[in-house]
Amino acid sequence: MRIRPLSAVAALTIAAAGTLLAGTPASAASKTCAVDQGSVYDVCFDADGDKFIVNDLRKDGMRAVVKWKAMDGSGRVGQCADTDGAFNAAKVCDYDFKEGPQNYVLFTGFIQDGPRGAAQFISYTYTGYISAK
Amino acid sequence: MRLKQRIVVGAVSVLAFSGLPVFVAGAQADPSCTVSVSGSTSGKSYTVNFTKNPCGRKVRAYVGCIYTDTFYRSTKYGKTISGTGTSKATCDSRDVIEKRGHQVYVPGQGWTTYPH
Repeated sequence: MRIRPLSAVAALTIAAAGTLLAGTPASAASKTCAVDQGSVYDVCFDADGDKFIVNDLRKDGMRAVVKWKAMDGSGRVGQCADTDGAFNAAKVCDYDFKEGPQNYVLFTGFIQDGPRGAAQFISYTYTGYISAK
Repeated sequence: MRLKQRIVVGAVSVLAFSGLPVFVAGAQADPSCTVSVSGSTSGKSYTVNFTKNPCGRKVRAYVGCIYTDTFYRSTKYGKTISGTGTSKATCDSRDVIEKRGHQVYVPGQGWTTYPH
């Protein structure tokens, strides 16, 4: 599992304009994690099972969210949110992305107040490969 | 057989509703209970006109909505009716319609979804 922090940032629009930088993700085997907002939430993509893992790490009444876009030809987008409070079990969202050596997901973490609140503590956009490379 | 029926009813309905999307939902357990519908979108809403509901099943419109800023998804339902008539489902004003269709409640099976 090789990690590449972002080449197609433009595909995701959540990050504040002009502020995106290439993050240096943490990874272990099949997992890619955002690291730049680690005091607020943990957000990871695990290629083993095509799972997003979101863990709220701040008691602020806001939800921790990962927004993703599959770059596997499907055009799928989605989000996974940890809405049941901080410092408890992480929310795990299972997907089934299309396997392929060039297929990956772009993802960005943030927190927000309610499902349509303004995104805050927006992470860099990360790239997680769907198939082990 | 169901396919043939769908085409025939659809063709008739197209004429009747001048180009609006037309669909027929087959109630799986009993073909005689087939629900016929037409639908139309207006802004954030989707209205389903249930033109035939011979068994009086509960039916309703639905829309799948997405908030494009964060990809938050939600599903909204129109009012449930038990005969013919209209049901209108509406997304939140900040969302856009991603999916639409109608549902039929079949006793013993629950709600069956028919995307349009």
